[in-house]
Amino acid sequence: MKRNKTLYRLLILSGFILINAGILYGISQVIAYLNSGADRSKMLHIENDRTRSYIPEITWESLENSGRPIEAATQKAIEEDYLDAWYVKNNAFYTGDDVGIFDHYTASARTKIGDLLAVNKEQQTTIEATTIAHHLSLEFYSADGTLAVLTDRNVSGVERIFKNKEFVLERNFNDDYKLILLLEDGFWRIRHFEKIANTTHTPSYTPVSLDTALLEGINYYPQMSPWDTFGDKFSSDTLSKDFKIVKDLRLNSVRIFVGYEDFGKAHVSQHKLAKLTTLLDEAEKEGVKVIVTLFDFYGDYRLQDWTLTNAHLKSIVTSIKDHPALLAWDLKNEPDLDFDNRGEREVLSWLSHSINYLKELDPKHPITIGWSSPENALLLENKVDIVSYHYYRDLEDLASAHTILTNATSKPVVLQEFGMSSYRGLWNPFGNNKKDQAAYYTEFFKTQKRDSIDYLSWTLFDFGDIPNRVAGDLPWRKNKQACFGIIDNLGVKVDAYSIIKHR
Amino acid sequence: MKRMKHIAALGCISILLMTTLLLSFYMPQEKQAISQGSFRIEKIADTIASAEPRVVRFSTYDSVQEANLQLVLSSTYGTIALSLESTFWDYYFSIPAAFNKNAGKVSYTFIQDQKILQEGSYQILADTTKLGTLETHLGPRSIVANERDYTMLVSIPTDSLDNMLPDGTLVNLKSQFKNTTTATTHPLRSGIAWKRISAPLQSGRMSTASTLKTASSRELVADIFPDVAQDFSITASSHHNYADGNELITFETSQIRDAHGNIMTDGTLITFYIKSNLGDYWQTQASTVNGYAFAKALHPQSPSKWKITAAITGIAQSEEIVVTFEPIIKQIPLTITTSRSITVGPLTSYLGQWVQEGIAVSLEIDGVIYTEHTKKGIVTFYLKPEDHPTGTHPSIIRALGIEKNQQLVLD
Repeated sequence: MKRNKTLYRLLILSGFILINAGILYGISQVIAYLNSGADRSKMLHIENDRTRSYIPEITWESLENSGRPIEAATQKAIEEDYLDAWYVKNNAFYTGDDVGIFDHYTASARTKIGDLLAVNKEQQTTIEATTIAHHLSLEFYSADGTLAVLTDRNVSGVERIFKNKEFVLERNFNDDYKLILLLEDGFWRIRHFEKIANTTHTPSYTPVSLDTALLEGINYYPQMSPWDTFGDKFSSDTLSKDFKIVKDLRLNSVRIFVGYEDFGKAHVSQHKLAKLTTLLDEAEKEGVKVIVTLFDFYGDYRLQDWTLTNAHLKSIVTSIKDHPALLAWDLKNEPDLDFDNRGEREVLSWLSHSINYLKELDPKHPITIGWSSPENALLLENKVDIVSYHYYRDLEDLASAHTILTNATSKPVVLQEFGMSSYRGLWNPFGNNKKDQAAYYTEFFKTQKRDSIDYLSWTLFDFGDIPNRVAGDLPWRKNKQACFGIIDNLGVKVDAYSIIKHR
Repeated sequence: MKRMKHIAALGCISILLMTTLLLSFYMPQEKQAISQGSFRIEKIADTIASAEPRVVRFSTYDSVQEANLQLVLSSTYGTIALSLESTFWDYYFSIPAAFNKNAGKVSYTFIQDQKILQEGSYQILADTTKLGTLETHLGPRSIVANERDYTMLVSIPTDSLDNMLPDGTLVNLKSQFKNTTTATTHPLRSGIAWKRISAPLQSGRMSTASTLKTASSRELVADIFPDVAQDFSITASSHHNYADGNELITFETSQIRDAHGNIMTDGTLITFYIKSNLGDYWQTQASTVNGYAFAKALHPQSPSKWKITAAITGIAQSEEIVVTFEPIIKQIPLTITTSRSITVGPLTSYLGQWVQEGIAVSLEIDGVIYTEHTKKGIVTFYLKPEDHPTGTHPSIIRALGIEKNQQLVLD
């Protein structure tokens, strides 16, 4: 009985506390709800600067029209709203969700999109699409500035069709459209939209040959800023000094890395471009040619990202493509390592598209892809000008791996990365030391001389601190990665240096 | 009841029999393997937009092979992927109505297991026999009655499925203004027909519309407002011209019109600028009604001369007029009741009546000015001994623009 009483007391007490907690929670939820809701600042459709995630190339081919001259601000507004219309439509076909369609299409056009979305939902089809380039002409702009008629020619792009989440088809398109836009509620909305022509545009491919008899080079990062060549420690003196070393080694080229994020993604920083030009200038002074590796640390590849990578590519390529020190473009370092995470088809599709675009921007310099293994080196062989691969295995098999490639392609084959880490220490007490490294190079040059292999070794310097994103944060990996150099952390030229020099 | 069951059973059996008969008749012909490993669909021909599904059949079909066939169609508004459909005796693709509605170029890809078997394109054309509405846009909706201004009428005709009609289709664009109707024919270009409608030289309201065969648009109207005002004249009127500080003077504009004689819109703001010869400036405003604007001002208390002009700021103005106000008294009557209490008045007006209450009268004595306001024409000043000691003081009394010098003898 007494026990029961205590139990009841406990129950009543805890019940009371629980009920109170519940009430308090309820009240707080009501207050939170009343405080949430539409942001006053968003009531009006006032444009604020936003970073666009879709920036296809837009060319206005003509603004001549019989209606009235267009103001620059309106032209910009039309362009942005029209692109947004494409963006929301592509997005709707991808996700099946019609978010944003309301803002960019008039009522009757919305219905048409809605009907097709319903068809795709029923057929379990999803379409992933992006456009790459638009060529607009203004056909008519009304006197009161509320109606515009446009033609958009050669709208090039890519779409991937999935059915029940399974890939069905990837197709490129190149279409012409005519459209009528109305200014409603501050948006230029699509009233009419009609595809008037479709042509298949096959990019012209002319192979470019490599501009050196034998490519003999080294992969390069400054000693003090590994994987961050264009960072805060950038100095033309360092570069000048380092390229003198390269010259002293009697090498004719270096391979450098341009980070996608480092250079500002789609909006490439002029500051970084200036640094890149400085590097090329310094190389030019020493007569060293430069292979520029693009899209370093880029790993998205999604169709939705293509316009951004195009913008990035365009900024960099147009800025340095006429530099005399530029030898070749390496589109991407070891993209095959992303096959598992991003899907082989997706990665190859991006590479293939980006090569096309790069060819368009700069038809003069050869293009390569730095594949991580000889087995993958023949991927996109028909697209690249130079076949490149990386080789960190036993030197015994190098000759045969190289021969397989040279037999399979008529294009130059470059051993773009190879080398040996001389790290022996706490994390790897039985690793190779400087002597092993020297022996490695001696052996390499035997094969190289015999087979006339074009090569770039890894790398010039031992590095003090390796960023985590390069080799992860495990000390045995980092330390190994830090010791591939032929000049150690104290600036001493190790044995391998003289072997390369006196090869 | 039992009989009904019998009939139903019989019916079922007969239907079954007939189906098997039909199947045995059709199946061998349609589903026959024609060539090993080859699928071809019929060429999809150009067509007219319609709200009906469309069937695409095979020209060759291989029934032996496991077929993972898809037909991908891409038109203006989007891409769809169709799976193979079948009945008992036929395989086909059915393009849904929603897709067939929209005019434009369509590209199709016929694929099997990610491999393209056939590609092509066809055109869906607008149905010019079934017209929908004519959407018209008119703007600017308010224009000015002069030779330069215009409004623009744009017509976007569509078929019943909201597709743009082909270029070259003729559209009638019409406008009507004060019993004059204008209709012109314009060919469609890029889906629209348009014309500029010059402003008439009269103000009023213009109606517009467009027609195409049997299809019509709604009516859209534009207002034509008068052009900028021309210079105008003003007059001033008052019951008398005495500076009594009581009467109101009325300024009136002539009827303000534009160059084509259109009366200014009601509410046009007119500012009257008044400058007095005593050095005062002020202004008063009035809005026009039927082209006229009226403004009023109080007569001054002192005889003075006013110069008045009026203007619509930045647009038009009047010439200057002059109004002269006469004094209402010749001299100031003065009564000294005691040596320290001085009464001025009664001040009388032009008929001999008292001036209206509140006329300011001032007394200047020993460098001090006292001001009082009349009541029944009279003002009384009391001069305190502590301020003004005994003796004779020169003083000036002022009222209604008149001055009187007076030697005051104070006890």
